[in-house]
Amino acid sequence: MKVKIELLGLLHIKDVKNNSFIEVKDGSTISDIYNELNILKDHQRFIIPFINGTEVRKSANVNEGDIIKIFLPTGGG
Amino acid sequence: MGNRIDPSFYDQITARNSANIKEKIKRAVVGIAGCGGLGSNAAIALARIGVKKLVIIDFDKVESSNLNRQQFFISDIGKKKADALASFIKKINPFVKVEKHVIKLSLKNIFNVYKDCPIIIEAFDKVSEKAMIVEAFGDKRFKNKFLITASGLAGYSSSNLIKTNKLSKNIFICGDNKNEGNENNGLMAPRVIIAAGHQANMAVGLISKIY
Repeated sequence: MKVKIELLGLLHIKDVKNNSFIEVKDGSTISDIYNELNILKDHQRFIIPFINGTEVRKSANVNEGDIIKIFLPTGGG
Repeated sequence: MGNRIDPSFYDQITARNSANIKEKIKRAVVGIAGCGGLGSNAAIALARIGVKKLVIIDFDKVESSNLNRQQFFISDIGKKKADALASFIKKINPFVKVEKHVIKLSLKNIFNVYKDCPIIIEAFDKVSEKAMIVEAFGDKRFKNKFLITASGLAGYSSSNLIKTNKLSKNIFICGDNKNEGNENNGLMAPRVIIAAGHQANMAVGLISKIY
């Protein structure tokens, strides 16, 4: 199935364009997508995922056509 | 101090506020998480327009390197930021109640500390702390509250890159989402104040809707 990935903040993932659709396995969770995108475990703990505008946990399942925002805050204040 | 001042002085201080939101501002309670560059500037903006109460949190002390962007004085160096900011606010608008906490905010205490704040401004420096507070908004205890976070305000590139965007139904993000603070991309008053202004103005927008 396909889901849309929106990258916010400092997150840049090789070979994944912002606002692009990626193919993931049926029944995938956010955590599975992080691993699929090769996001390091150290980075994963600071990333906040949203599915269709709702903040979710990493264990949340994704569905066909979902818009997944992945937010890594930028430091400084 | 406030008890000795004629209450009508509040109206004089806030005489130039927009008339259609003045009473709402008077009832508004806003949480400020962090009293550094973002937090001190956003808190002072909201104090100037006369919000009812600010709940400010910071465990840190004022250092000389803070003075390039944070609303403190040389005489504040060594003081707790929350204490120094509360003192400054009282000098600007003595009618604003300040509830200060000299603590490190965490997922263990945030729900209790901010239980009476419908709007919270995230004003931390570290990525881990910013992520913590956004994570807290995934909890049902905060589902009816609003978070105004900041991301990307370092350096001196165009002011116009700093925007306020909606991240979810109750989370807003202010900044350029790009410029992180580091040695070659400093944290300096002009851009930090712009981002803090975005946060404070977003708070006013929310006050107009929820009060």
